Amino acid sequence: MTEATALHELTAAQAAGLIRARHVSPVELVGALLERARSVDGLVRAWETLDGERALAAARAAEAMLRERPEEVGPLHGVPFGAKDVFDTADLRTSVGFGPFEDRLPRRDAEAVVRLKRAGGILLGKTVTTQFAVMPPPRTRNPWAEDRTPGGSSSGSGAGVAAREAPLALGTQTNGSVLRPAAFNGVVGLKPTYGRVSKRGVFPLAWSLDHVGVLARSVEDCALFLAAAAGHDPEDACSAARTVPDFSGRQRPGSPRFGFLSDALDRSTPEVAAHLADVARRFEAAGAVVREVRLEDSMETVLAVHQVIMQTEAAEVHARLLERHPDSYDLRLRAYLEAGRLLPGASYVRAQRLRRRINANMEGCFADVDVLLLPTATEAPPGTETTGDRSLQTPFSLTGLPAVSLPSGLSSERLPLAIQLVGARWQEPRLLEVARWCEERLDPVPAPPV
Amino acid sequence: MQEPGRSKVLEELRTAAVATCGEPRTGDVQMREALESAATALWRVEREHLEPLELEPWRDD
Repeated sequence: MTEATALHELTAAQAAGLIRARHVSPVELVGALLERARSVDGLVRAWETLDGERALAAARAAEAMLRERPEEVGPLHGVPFGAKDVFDTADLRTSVGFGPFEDRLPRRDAEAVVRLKRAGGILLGKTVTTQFAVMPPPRTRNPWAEDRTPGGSSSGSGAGVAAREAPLALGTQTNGSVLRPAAFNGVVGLKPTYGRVSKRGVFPLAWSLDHVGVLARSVEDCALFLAAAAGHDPEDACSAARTVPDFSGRQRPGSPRFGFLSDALDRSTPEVAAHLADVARRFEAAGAVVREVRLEDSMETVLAVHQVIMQTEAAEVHARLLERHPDSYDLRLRAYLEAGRLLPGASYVRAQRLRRRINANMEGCFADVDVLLLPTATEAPPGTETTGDRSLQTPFSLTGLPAVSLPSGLSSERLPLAIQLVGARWQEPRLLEVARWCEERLDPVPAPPV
Repeated sequence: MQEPGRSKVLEELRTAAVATCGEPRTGDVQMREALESAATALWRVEREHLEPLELEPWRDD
């Protein structure tokens, strides 16, 4: 670390390295991030609950462990992280953006939180979510421009990581809720393959679509998260019993082969489409192979199938709660759930059968390419009345394919633009290698002006 | 969207909403928007051609 690098600027990997080498103390780092939150969070509003006292106590314990048992420290030893307020945290309020849950105190940590702590991570606090991780816009502001959405529903995780209030933060995605906030805040987002990371202790939105992911400031940090969090959990029925591979991306075999997903450009603004074309040309010039790929199923069909599944499952998740607290729900969300109760069961099953076809068709796209390349979002961050268009993230929540959002430049209004890389099922090692390759060839996006 | 198939789906949803939530609630702006959106999705799902799966009994019909 140079003298000029402030502690709050460190990525998770940098912080972990400096802590292991004893150049930085976990107590100093937690203190610096709490100070950073005091200075900027009045504007950004990323934190739902900051748990400074316990974070400092954990940092002191981490410092002692480093002194006394250095051989036992984990890969994230002393590294602070945030968790979206849909992750249960033991004795720390988890309100899911819902009034009646204001003082809800879970007894156990969610599995993803357990695993990050086991790797040495220090929970700094809970980040703002939209209500139940659905559509109502949050109070969080985009650190790039106060009048633009930070995206949702992992709004606080995206804005907080961008504003240097934490090096990484857990998020969830059922539709586009990890990748879109990552794109709109100019940070890196990873949504692993469905089943790769346990959802135990995460408030559900739609069981067959919910994913746990991460927002960070480098691909390396996403890999660190995945190495710590991935792996079978017998307490999550959707968790896959697969061996956890090496995500470090050290093999670096050959130049990547991209499938340029032209369907996505039809939905994007001219500025986003031109930006993606420019990025693809730069990658080609750097030695990559770029081939055009088209989806066999129309985007309208993919989005409709996702909606029928998500709305039906969400209506069932909320059936009892909505009956008890109808007036505590956001008006649009309440109507969405009430309409969801009316969708015929046969239509839900039909949507699941179509999903299987879409999965098979999409897997065919990877015959000659390593990853699909498309914009993460159709536009630069829009106003705060919305959390933005989900349509380019939804297909990969539906199919469960792993995806990364990488900041790739700034718009004419100096707002973040991002590319999305989608890997084949269970191929996160290659996806992360390619993401690193891209990261090294894209101009670094500066810190937001907050 | 003026597709007849979709209009039929919307009408069925509205009828179900009135029976479940009552007339006034079904007329709320948010509820009307939610029903419109759900009808479009349902209609798209229903009109999509689907090959029978391997084990479905009618696949050789």
